[in-house]
Order: sequence, then C-alpha cells, then structure tokens
Amino acid sequence: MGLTVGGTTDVSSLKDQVQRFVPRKFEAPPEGTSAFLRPALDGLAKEQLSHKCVRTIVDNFERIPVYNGVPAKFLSAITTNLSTSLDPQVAALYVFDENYWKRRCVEQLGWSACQLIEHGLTWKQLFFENYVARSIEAFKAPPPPGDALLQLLRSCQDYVFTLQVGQMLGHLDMERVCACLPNLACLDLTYGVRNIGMKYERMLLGMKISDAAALARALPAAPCLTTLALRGGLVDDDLLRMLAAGLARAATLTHLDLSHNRIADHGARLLARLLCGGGGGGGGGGGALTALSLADNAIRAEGARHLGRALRENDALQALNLRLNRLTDDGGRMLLEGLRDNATLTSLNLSGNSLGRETAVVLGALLRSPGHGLRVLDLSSNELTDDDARTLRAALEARPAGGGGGGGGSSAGGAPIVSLDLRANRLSAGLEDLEAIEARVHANELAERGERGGA
Amino acid sequence: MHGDSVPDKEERKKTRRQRVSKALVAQEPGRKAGAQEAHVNEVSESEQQVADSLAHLDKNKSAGIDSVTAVRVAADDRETQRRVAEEAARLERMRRLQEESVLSSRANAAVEMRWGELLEQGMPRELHAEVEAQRDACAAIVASKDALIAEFQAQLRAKDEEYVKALKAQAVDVTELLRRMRAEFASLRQAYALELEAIEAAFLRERSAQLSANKAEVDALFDKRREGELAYMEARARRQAQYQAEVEELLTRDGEEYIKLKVKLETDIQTLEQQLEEMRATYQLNTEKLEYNYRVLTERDMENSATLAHQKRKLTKLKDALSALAARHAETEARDRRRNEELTEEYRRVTRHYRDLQAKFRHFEASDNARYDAVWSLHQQEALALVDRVLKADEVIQRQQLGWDWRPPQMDLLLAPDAPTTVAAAAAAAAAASASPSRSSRDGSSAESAPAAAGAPGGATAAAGRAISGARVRAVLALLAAEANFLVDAGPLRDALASITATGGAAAAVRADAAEAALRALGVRGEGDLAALMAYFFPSSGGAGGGGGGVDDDSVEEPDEPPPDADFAALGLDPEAEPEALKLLITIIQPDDVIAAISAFVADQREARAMEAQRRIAAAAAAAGARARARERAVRRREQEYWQRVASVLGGGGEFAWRALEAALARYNGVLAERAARIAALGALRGENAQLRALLRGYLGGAVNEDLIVPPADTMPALAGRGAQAF
Repeated sequence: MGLTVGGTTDVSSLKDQVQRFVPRKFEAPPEGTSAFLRPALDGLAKEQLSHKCVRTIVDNFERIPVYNGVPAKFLSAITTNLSTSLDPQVAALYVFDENYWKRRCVEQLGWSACQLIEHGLTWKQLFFENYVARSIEAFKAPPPPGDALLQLLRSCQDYVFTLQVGQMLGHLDMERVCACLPNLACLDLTYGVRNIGMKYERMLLGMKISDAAALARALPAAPCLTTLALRGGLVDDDLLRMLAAGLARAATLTHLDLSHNRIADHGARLLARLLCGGGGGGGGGGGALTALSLADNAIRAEGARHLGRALRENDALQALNLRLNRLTDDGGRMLLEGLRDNATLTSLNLSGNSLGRETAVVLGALLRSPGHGLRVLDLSSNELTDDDARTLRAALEARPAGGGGGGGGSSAGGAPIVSLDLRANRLSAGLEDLEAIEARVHANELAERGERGGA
Repeated sequence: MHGDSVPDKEERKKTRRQRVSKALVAQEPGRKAGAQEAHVNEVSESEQQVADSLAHLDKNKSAGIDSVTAVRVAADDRETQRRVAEEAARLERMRRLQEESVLSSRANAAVEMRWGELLEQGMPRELHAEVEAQRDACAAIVASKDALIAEFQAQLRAKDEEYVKALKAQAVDVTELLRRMRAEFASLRQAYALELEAIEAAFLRERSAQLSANKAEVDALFDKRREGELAYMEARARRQAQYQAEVEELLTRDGEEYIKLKVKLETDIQTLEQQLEEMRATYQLNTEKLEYNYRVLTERDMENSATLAHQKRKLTKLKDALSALAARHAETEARDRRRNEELTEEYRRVTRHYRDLQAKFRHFEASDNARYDAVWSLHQQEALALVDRVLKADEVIQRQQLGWDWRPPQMDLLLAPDAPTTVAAAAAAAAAASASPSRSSRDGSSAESAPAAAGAPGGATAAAGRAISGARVRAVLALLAAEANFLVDAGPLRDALASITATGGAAAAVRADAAEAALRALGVRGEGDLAALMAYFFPSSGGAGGGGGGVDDDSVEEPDEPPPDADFAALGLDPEAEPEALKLLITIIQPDDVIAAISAFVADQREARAMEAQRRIAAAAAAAGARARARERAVRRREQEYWQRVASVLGGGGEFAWRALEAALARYNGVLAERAARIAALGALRGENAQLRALLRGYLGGAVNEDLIVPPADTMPALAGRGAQAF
C-alpha cells in the first residue's frame, strides 16, 4: 500500500493546459509559391502546356476575356494571377472568384475600409459599391455626364445595392444613374465637398434645383429603393417641395434621412402630409416610412404642430429624430400631444430643441397614458429644470417597475422607457430625482432584457 | 455626427448580451442547488465573482458610453446656445436696420422739406448756409448708414472668426472624442483583463478546494480499503486451513471410491469391447450391404437418366410426328373437302339420273301392266280349268277313297280377283289357315267372325295356330311378369291382349295384368310387335321380322313336336296345357336370358322404328307415288292371294289328306311288295329244307356212325328238338 494516492491528480490539468496553450496562428500562404509561378523559375522549356495556356489567358484577359470553356481546375489559377488593375467593366462580367475581389479590395481600399458586412458579405459587391461611389465623387465634368460612367454603372449593375456618395462635384443626373442601377436599395447622397476647410465657397455646396428635379423623377422609378439619405445638402423648403413629389410616389421607401439641412416649417408640413399616407402625391408613398431623421434643421413650433398631427394618424413610423431644431417649448408640447395614441413610435430624439416646462408636463401625461409606445427618448441639451425632472420621475414611477409588467406594459401604462437622456439641461448636479429616473430606466432595461433572454 | 450613436448602440448590445448571460449563469446554480447541496458554496463563490465582474464591467461601460457621448452632447448644447444667440443677434440686426431706416427716412423727409424752403430763399448767403446745412444733414444720414454698415461688416468678420473657431472646435472635439474612445477602450480592456483574472482566480480557488476535498475523500476510501483487505486476508487464511482439511478427507475417501470404481469400470470396458467387436462386425455387414445398395442405386440412376434422355428424344420425335400429323390432317381435310365437293357433284348427277330412271320406270311400268293384264286373262282360263279338275279329283278322293263327305269350296271367291277387300279377306282367312299372327292380326276382325263361315278343318287349324301362339304368348308373358316386372305399366295394349288372354282363364289374368304393363313398357303396341317379341323368345324361328317369318313360325316349329301333337296342342286351350308350354319355353330360353332377350328386342325394335321413321320420311317426300305404289301393291297382293287361293283351292287339310293318303298308300304298297317277296323266299327255303333233310338222313344212316365212340346222333336231340320246334 505504498503508492501515493492521487499523485498525478495533484497538478492542475487546467493549469497545464493554460500553460501549454499557444494561440493558433493563421498563416497566410507565402507569396510566390503558387504552382503557376514556379515553372517560370525553372525555365520556359519545362513549362506545361496548360500552364502556358493559363498564362496566356491571364495576359490577354482584358482584351479577350475567356471564362466559359475553361475547366474548373484552372479557373482558380486564372483568377489568382489576374491583375488587380483589370478594367472593372470586363472584370464585372467575367470574374466571379471572391478571392480575386478580396485581393483587389484590400489592395485598392486597404483593410480598414473593407466593411464586408455592409455590402452583402460579398467582396465583389463591396468593390463595386466603393468603386462606383468613388467614381461618382470624382466626377467633375459638367452635365450631361459622360457615357463612360454610365457604361460602368450598367456593367456592374448586378453588384451595386448600396450607393454612398460623400461629395458631388459634378452634380450628376441621378435619374440616369438610378436608371442604370435597378438593384439600388440604399441611396446616400451628400451634396457638398469633403474637407473643404477654409476654401469655402457658397456655390460648391448644396443641392441644385436641377438635382432635386432629377431625384424626384428618379425616386418613383427605382423599384427597390428602401433607404434615402440626403444629408448636408442645404435642402430648403422649396427643394423639399420638389423632392416631395418624388417621395410621395416612392412606395418602397422605409428610411428617410434629411438631417443637416435647412428644412423649416413648410417642409415639415410637407413631410407631415407624406407621413399621413401621401396626401399630396396620392401615390401611397411615404406611408411606409419607419424611420425619419430631421436632425439639424430649422423646424419651429409650427412644423412641430404639423408633425404632431401627422403622428396622430400614422401607424408605421418607429423612429423620429428631431435633434437640433428650433421646436421650442410650445412645439415640443404640440408634438408630444400628437403621440398620445401612437403605439408604433418607439424612438424619439428631441435633444437641442429648447424644450421647457410645458413639454415636460405633456410628456409626463403621455408616459402615464396606456396608448403610447415610446421606449427610447433623448431630451439632452434642453431647458428642463429640476421641477420638470420631478414631473418625469413621478410619471415614470406611476408605472410599476419593469419586472412587474411582464406583458410589455400594456396593462398599467404604455411601453416602459428603457433609455432616457437628460444631460446638458438646467438641472442641478446630484439631483435626487435624476438618480431615481436613472434607476427606474435601468430597471426597465434589465427587465426588458430578461424578457428577451427568457424568450 | 449622425453615426456617432452607432458605437454606443453596439456597446449597449454587448452589455445587454453579457447581462443576459449573467442572468442565465445566475439561474443555473439555483437549479443545480437542489441536486448538489454540498457544492452550493463553491459554485456560488465563482458565480458570484462572475456576476460581480459583469456588473462592474456594465457600470464601466455605461460610464464610458456617457463620457464618449458627452462630447456630442456638449457640442449639441453649444450649437443650440449658439443658434439661440444667433437668432437673437439676427433679430437685433433686423431691429437695428428697421430703426435705422425709420430714422433715415425721417431725416430724408426733413431734408426734402427743407429743399422746398431752399427754393424760396432769395439771398445767396442764406442759400449757401441752407445748402451747407442740407449737406450736413445728408452727411449725417450717410454717416449713420455707414456706421451700420461698418458694424455689420465687423459682425461679418466676427462670423468668419467664429467659423474658424468652430472648425477648430470641431477638430478639438474630434480629437477629444478619439482620445476618449481610446482611453475608454484601454480602460475597458484592462477592466476585462482584471475581471477575467479575478474570475479565473476564483475558479482556481474553487478547484483547489474541490481537489483537496476529493483527495481527502479518496484517502479515506483507501484506508477503508486497506482495512477491508486485512480482514479479508485473515478470513482467507482461516478458510484455507479449513479447506485443506476438507480436501485431505476428500482425497482419502475418493481414493477408495476410485479403486472400486476402477475395477467396475474395467469389467465394463471388457464387456463393451466385446460389444464393440460385435457391432463392428454388424457394421461391416451393413457397410457392404449399403455399398451394394449404393451401387444398385447408381446403376438405376444411370438407367433413369438414360430413360429420361430416351423419353425426351421420344417426346421430340412425337412432337415431330404430331406436327407431321397435323400437317397431314390439314392436307387430308383439304382433300376430303375437295372429294366432298366432287361427291356432291356426283350426287347431283346421280339424282338427275335417278329422276330420268324414274320417268323411264313409269313408262315401263305402264307397259308392263298392260302386258300383265294380257297374260293374266290368258292364264286365268287355264287356271280355272285346272281348278275344276283338282276339285273333281278331290271329290273322287274324298268320297271314294276316304269315304268322307265332300264339300266343294266357294267357287265365287275364285272367280272374283277384283272383289272388295273385306270379302277377299274373309275368303283368305279360310285359305291362310297357317298364316302368321301378323297376317291374322291384320285381318283379325274378320278372322274372328270367319270360323263359322270357314270350313271346319280350316277353322280348326286357324284356331289351333292362334291357340299355339296364345299359349306361347301366355308363357312368355308369365315369364316376363316373373322376370321383368320392372317394366310394369298400364296402357292401351290391354285390348290386344284381351283377345289373347280371354281364353287364358282367370289364373293367367292376374299375371296378364303385370305382363301387359311390361309389354307396354317394351313398346309392344300390337300383335305384330308381340309376334316379333315372341321371335326373340323362340330363337329357332330365325327371321321373325317380316310377315313371311310369321308363316315359318309354325311350320318350322312344328318339327320340334310330333305332328299329331299339333292338334293336341290346339286343344291346349285348357289350363293344363299352359304349364307345358311354359316348361317348353323354359327349355328353350332360360329365365336368366329373359333380360338379354328383352334388351335385344328393344334394340331391334328401336332400329326398326328408326328405319320406319326414315321410310316414313321418304314416303312423305314422295307421298303421292308411294301411295300409288301401296295401292298397286295391295292390288298385287290381292292378285297374289287370288292365285294362292287358286293354288290352294284344295285347302291345307285337303292337301294334307292327300299327302297322308299318298304316304299311307305308298307304305301299304311297300308292305304288299315285301310280303310278296317273302312268300317267294319261303317257297325257295322249303325246297332247300327238303333237300337238306334228305341229305341229313343219308348221313345219319351211314356206316360211319357205327364206328364212332360218340355218334353225332346222341348230341343232336337238343338241336333236333329246337329245330323241330322252329319248323
């Protein structure tokens, strides 16, 4: 009985494993070891005929794109050796190997710019969406646009779903562009100049009337456009009126972003009509909008009144962003009064709108009412005072804490507020009500997450 | 600026996920707790650590998000305030412009009014002063406007500066944002590393505690095992000793048993060896037998296979033959068909020929009839003369030789061959005394009434014929009733039988009923059929089918019985004669053969009927000709009868008497001739006798006799006496 009990179990096997653990290395294949490059080193005499054929195809691919008759085992060899400076129009039609497109993207754009998840998880789409956007940004010639660009668009129309243009120097006719890209789902246009700095000139910036007219014509013609962003384009009420004709007939549009523009009360009224089911256009467009961003515009109390009235009838909009407008206390009140029976709007951003006491009172009443659907609310950079914070706290606490309302708050009040931002208001530091509000919002958030986890 | 909400959203998602996992992890031990209460503390320690870490990280993260977004919020706030100020400034500008325009317009109006006064001014000096004043006023207006412009330009410059400042502020904000994000990233990473370490340490502590607990447990278990082993060793030693003793004891006992068993087994072995030898011999025999059987079976198998092959060959051969036969059959059929056609053709030709022949026949018939009539009238006179001579001769014989009365036959019948049928039949009945039953049945009605009119011997013979027939019939019927009563039925034959059985007596009547039924079943419908049936029972009467057969019936049969018995049998109407007839019948035909006879009769009858039916069909086909021929045949028959009557005018009895007389006279003549011969022979013998007597006397009287010891005369007396007697 002399053997030691558990002699081998004294040492922690976990520790052993941790000590022995070496991170797995993902080794890239060394450059130049491809089977199709070696024969060239050995001398041309020893090169196989198939390799020679592949080399010839690669060399002349731009002129004579051969793809169909080639056996499958040589396709990868061909695409591996194809140049990344190949004419994109040819490449779009004849090259389907993702590895090639990955190589090309990384070489031309760099790793950091390649957000594959934003481009349908295919490298080819990523390349062409970037390439087209850059081509449009670089386009400077006066209209009519050159046929070369349109030809490029036509040749790569199968791979462009999202178009994000950061600057518009040439004021391209978007109607023709959209006609070339039937698959377009997301259009993000910025009428301006990047990094202009001190070289500011009034004429370089902003949308022109012709642009607005072309876009208005292009919108109903785009069959699957869902997202439209026109940020920083100095869009004022007149331009918006021209656009609204197109928006009213764009039935597939769900996301509309008009932030950083100069839309005022009249434009807000136009958008309100759009939200009511396209009262102006009659084409049924706009009624499907789920997200509307009007941040950094010049909407005042009158525009807020129109929007509030529209929200009373609308049952599709889920997110509304009115950051940095001039709603004032009166406008905020009128907007929130329209939300009383709206159960679909879940996210509302009213920061930077000089909201005050009246708004707080209406918001308190709204949060107590059972019909509202608000969950995320941003009220930062306003003129709320300690009394208003107390009002909000009372409204929030009128509803039992999120843990109790398992059914999503349909019984006692409306939906539970899971995010409420009250920074940069006229609140005294270390206010008790503020902490209570934060605690309640946090509890709601935890409760909701528990629900989701449970589900 | 719009996109800066994205990172904090992402972070919030992360924190949410972590919190969810934390909540789940916190729930897990709670579930396990029920099962493993011993480990509750350790588990809860590590889990607590994990939960704490997650909460800590959560707090860190929300603080980081707040600090990062604070830049945006501050910028927004600044922008809001700037905009508010900007709006106020704009309003101020507007107000100033308005004020300035009001003031300047008022000044302009004052200047305008002064211009009017200026025109009325006459004095140059005053005018100059006024103009100067006007210029000053205008300059004041311009100055105020210029001041406003300068002020606005200053504001514009300030705006420019503000823009530059805003740009700088933006750059500062961006750098600040980046810095904060980096700092936040670093701090978060650190926090994560710390928390990870803390968690790992907690887990390690927990693990070591668990390990030590397990080790102690294992040590305790080993101790327990050692003790158990010791106890087991001792018990084992004890058991070993005990088993040793038992084993030795068993060994001694088993040794004895072994020896005994060995002896017994050895004897067994010997007997078994003997049996083995026997069995071997038997098996050897069996083996040989079986081998022989095997060989036989193989032979048979070969034979069978040979037979099989043979049969197969035969089968193929037969198949060939079958096909050949089929071919030949087809060929034959074709040939036969052809032949049939040919024959049909031949038949038509023959039919045509036949018709021609018929026509010819009719022609010749007519001529034959004419010749016949001529011949008839020629021979009738001769015949009548001959008849007359015969009758005269008969009269002489009857009256002179036999001494009987002679009754002349009815001559009118002989003279009228064309007389009515009934009369002819009545006359014929007397003439046809020995006619067949069928004939008599045809003329039955007249025959019944005939005997009185007919001559006595004729009537007697006719009645005798009937009676013989009746007796036989009765006998047959009796036999039938006895042997074949399965045929019994009743029917219209009764009347026909009644005439026969009426004389049969009461004894036969009972059997007659049954027999009658049997006859009906056999299809006997009249006396003709009955006679035919009789022919089967009396096979000596060969051709019983026709009417002529019936005539032979009696004449042939009569030799069986003595001729005088015919009359006697005719008297056999009395019951005593019947058993004799029956006996006779039985000698002729055995009762066992009755059925065979009946069946033969029935078969023949059927054939006859079939033929009759055919004949009837033929008759129907040629109805008119057949009827004419029948009538002609009747005439012929009548004529035949006439000639017969003429031929047999003497009658059967008369002829018979003649023949008997002739025979008797011949015999008498013979006797007389013999007598004459004998008388002559007697005379010769008398002479011879006298000679011989003389010779004898001579010899006896001779001298020789004296010499003899025994003279012949001594031996003679007997002879002499006999001879004397004879003579």
